[in-house]
Amino acid sequence: MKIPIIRDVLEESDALARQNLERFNSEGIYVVNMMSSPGAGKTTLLERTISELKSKGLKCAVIEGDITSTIDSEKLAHLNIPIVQANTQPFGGDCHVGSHLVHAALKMLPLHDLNYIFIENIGNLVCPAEFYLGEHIKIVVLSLPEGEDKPVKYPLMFRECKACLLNKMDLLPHLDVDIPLLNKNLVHVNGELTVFPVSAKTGSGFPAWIDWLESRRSNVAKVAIRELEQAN
Amino acid sequence: MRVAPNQRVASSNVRPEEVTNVALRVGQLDAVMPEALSEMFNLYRSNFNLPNAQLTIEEEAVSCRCKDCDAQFSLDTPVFVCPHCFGCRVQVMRGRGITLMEITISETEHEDTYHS
Repeated sequence: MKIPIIRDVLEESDALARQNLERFNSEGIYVVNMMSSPGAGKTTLLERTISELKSKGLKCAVIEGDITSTIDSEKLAHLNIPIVQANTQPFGGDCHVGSHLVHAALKMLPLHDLNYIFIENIGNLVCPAEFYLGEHIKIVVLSLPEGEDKPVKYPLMFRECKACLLNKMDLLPHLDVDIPLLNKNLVHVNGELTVFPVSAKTGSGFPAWIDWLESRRSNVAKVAIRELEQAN
Repeated sequence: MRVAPNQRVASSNVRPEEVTNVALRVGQLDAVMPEALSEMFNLYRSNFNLPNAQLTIEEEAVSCRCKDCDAQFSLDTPVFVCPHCFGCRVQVMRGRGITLMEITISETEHEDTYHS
């Protein structure tokens, strides 16, 4: 006898992610899930992004998802912001950050006093794209040395994200990367992806990226205020 | 992997060993290889407490809708471009996610329970 079920295998994970989102919205925090392959420059990018946001008076926190080590947390420590190391195993662990890890990390953050939380996902272009964590936006960092073929090889990652930070633009003169082909591959996989050529090292391209991020955050805040007013 | 039975099954007296098949639908856009999933299921079958169950996987092709001309089309390669108007604003309609579709239990012992 066949018994129909039709249930998403990830429904428990998604339910927890929705709880995370409700918490973020009630606290007025904009949450960014940042993903890339290992070595694309997520931590350095976060370092500069958070410095820029701090200079505008905005308060940020980071959930660091590394399979092992606290190297990234230590690198960001000078920013004097709350950082939670989400998943540390001495010899390596999971391949992605899960909604349960974010849920647990929230207990360790001063949520009433934050504008942004950045989730630095584990370096991997495959698995992190599969999981909703309750974030407002997914961002992928692609560094030029990785080559122009990555969007086509990892389509789900580039489909799931709203923006792509093309990092390490300062290396362009030294690389054979075919920029028109890279752009074509990005458009063919996700024609609605907003692309920011940046260098986390030199800061080039950052004003446009920061403005865009701030406009996304204020849009979410406006919706939250409207919903609050309607509820009252 | 935790396969949660629905309320009807949970409230019945189905024994795990009576489950003969578990049917999954896997979207082709997901980074899931059906062969690897089947292999894992066979290796861990006893841990799932489903000693007599087979795993059946149906792959779901990626199909899309063009946001510009509203055409619907399926994809064989990860090029999300409308074949009609060549627009790149494309919404994925099917081919994403892993869904537990149905389970099969041995007929003889439970026919009365479900048809009564």
